[in-house]
Amino acid sequence: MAWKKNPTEDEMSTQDDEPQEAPSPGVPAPLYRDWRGEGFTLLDYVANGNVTVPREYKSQKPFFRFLRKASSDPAFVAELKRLRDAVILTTVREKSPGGITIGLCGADGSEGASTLAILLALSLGECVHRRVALLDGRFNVQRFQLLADILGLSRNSVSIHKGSNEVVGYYNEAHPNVYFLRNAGAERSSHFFADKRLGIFLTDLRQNFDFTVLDLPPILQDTTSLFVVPHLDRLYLVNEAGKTSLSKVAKCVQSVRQAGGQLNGVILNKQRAPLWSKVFWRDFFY
Amino acid sequence: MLNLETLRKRALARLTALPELLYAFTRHWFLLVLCLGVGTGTMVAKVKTDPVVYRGSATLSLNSAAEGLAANLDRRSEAKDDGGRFFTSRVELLQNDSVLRKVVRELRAVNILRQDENTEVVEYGTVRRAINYVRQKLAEAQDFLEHPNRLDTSEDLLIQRAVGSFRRRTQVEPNPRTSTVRIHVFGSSRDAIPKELEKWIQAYRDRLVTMASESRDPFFDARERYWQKMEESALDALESFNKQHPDVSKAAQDLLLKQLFRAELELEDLRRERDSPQLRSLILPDNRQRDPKWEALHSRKLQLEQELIQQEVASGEKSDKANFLRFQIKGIDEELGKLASGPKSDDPEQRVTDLNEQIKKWSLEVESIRERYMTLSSLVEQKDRLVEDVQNTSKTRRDYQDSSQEWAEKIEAMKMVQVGTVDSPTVDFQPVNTYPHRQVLFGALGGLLMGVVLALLLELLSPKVRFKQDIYTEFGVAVIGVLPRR
Repeated sequence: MAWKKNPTEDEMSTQDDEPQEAPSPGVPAPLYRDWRGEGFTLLDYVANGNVTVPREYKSQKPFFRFLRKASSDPAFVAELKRLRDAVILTTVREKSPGGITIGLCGADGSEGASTLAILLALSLGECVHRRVALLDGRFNVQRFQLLADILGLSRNSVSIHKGSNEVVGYYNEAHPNVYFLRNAGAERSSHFFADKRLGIFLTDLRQNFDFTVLDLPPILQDTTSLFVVPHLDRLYLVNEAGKTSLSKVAKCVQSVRQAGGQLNGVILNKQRAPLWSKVFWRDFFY
Repeated sequence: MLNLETLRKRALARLTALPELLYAFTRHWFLLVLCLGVGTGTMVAKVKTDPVVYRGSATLSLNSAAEGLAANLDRRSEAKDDGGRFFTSRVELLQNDSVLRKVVRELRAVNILRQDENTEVVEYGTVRRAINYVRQKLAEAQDFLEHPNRLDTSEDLLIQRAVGSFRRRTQVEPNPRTSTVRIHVFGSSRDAIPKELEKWIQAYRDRLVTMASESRDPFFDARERYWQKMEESALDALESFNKQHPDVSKAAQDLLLKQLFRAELELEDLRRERDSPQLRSLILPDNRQRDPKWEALHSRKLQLEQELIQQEVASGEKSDKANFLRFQIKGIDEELGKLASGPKSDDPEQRVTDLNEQIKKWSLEVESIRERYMTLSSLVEQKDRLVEDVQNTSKTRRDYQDSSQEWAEKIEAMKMVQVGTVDSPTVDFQPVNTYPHRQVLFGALGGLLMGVVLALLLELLSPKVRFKQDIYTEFGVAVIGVLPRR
């Protein structure tokens, strides 16, 4: 497995850009500049950038609206940053030199695990000296394409061999420490995760990135995500507050344990809070 | 597998998160509104279909009851000490089963039960009639549950139901400070309520009187009967004695005693006369020995004669000593002869014989009198005992009779004193259930409260992930982040 200078033709990328080289790790990436001349990150860009969703990705419009709305919500961003800090804090005492792999998965779907994975990756990317990768385990081609479009990702970028397949990485020039990885071919999750050399692939990812966020399919819907569970350093279960039932969480915990992995924590998403919590008792809810 | 232990743990863990629990009311606002609506609607339906109920009231003063009872029972101090308890027990007695049973018996159970009926049903519209029908069925079901053998239409059961109905319709408001009780009776018929109140008060009074009479010594009557019987038997014994011995009396005894004395005196006189020395001296020489001088001379003579015999034996008949002794004896004989010459009766022998006969006769007489006297004495003693018995038993019986009379008087007094009626029974002019706003307000509040409780229960027992505590409590996994809903 090695970084490819010239990746293969991507069927998804129709608009052309010159292939660019991946920046060397450790170099501070230039940030976006707003009208005041201050630097801001990809997360800020999602929140504040004047982006229009192309017509061909019309079905992804609600997703993007959602993403943007979440990114522009100060309370949400604050909580997201707390989550990011909590994740980083878990690595502080790590003795191994490589990075960590973080799996995010839902229980039954529609908990917002994908959005959270993207936002967490973007948030982790704000630490410019850390290399962050987001691996799309859902194989949602359209959504990835949209992300690539709105974030202006380079389509001819690095690629990693994974067995017989290849994982292609995309990155933004202005923000080169955040990579978006996807499978080069149209592969199903069962093919991807059932690969015998998945462990080696993840080790390779650890060597190249400080944080690799894996957006995994919901455990109870698609059991293929359990294949990757034993190889992950952290596994977080995303629950929708007030919707995900405790029995499903129990099933997830049991499945993960049976698969040989360990659930390191739970993220409560979409927690409702009353208006008065903005004035007091906010900490009780978040 | 869901079990009670898990639910309990979950609920306890969630109870610690107060703000999130409070948010339950915001989350379940629909439930709150629903319960509010249901509560209000129910009360509105109740108000619309409630039969018109009138309230009759009367005020009773139990203070006089306490004082009266205490005075009658000589327990004033006790009543003062236990005034509160006494008052409470008297108030509790108002709704006692026996009191209410008496009311029901006197007014007839059917009339009592009729007070529960809704007389305005005919004026209702369709909806109200439907609601009323449901209510009636519910009441029937409740009645059936309370009295499973309801189909048994025996008189006793009817009375039982009427007592239950009357108890539900009555209300007692005690005022310990003034020792008064305000009693209320609710019913649909204005005319029947005062009667019910009066009967109730009367039954209460009667019950108090019964209790007072029951508070006597339970063996009092038995003892009284016993002593009556004893008196009768003593009287019978005396009567039969009198029949058997009609002459036995103290006077007869005294008379006999006098006779005895007289006879004994007579006998004594006769004996004295017979034994007089004069008479003896006349008829018998031996009688003279009673004369001391004669006695001394006679004894001297006997002594000298003894000495003479001894002298003759010792020194012969013709000795000087013997002669001298003979001379002395002769002189003494002469003196004795002089002494014997006294007054002489005509026929002293005959006289003594007569006297002896008389003495014998009188002795027999005295003996017979004494014997009669002894017999009479024993009989008189016996009679005295019997009379004493009669007196004692009649006295005891009279005591009991007096006490009984006293008790009866006390009870009669209690009838007047026990319960004072401060306000006589009156019926309010307006029906009591003409305050719909209050009832509806209570219904709304009740509904809201029910909603709050339901919301809390739903929140506490919800099987969904709502609280941060749930995850750690149930799975031991930490929550690393909570993200708000956009």
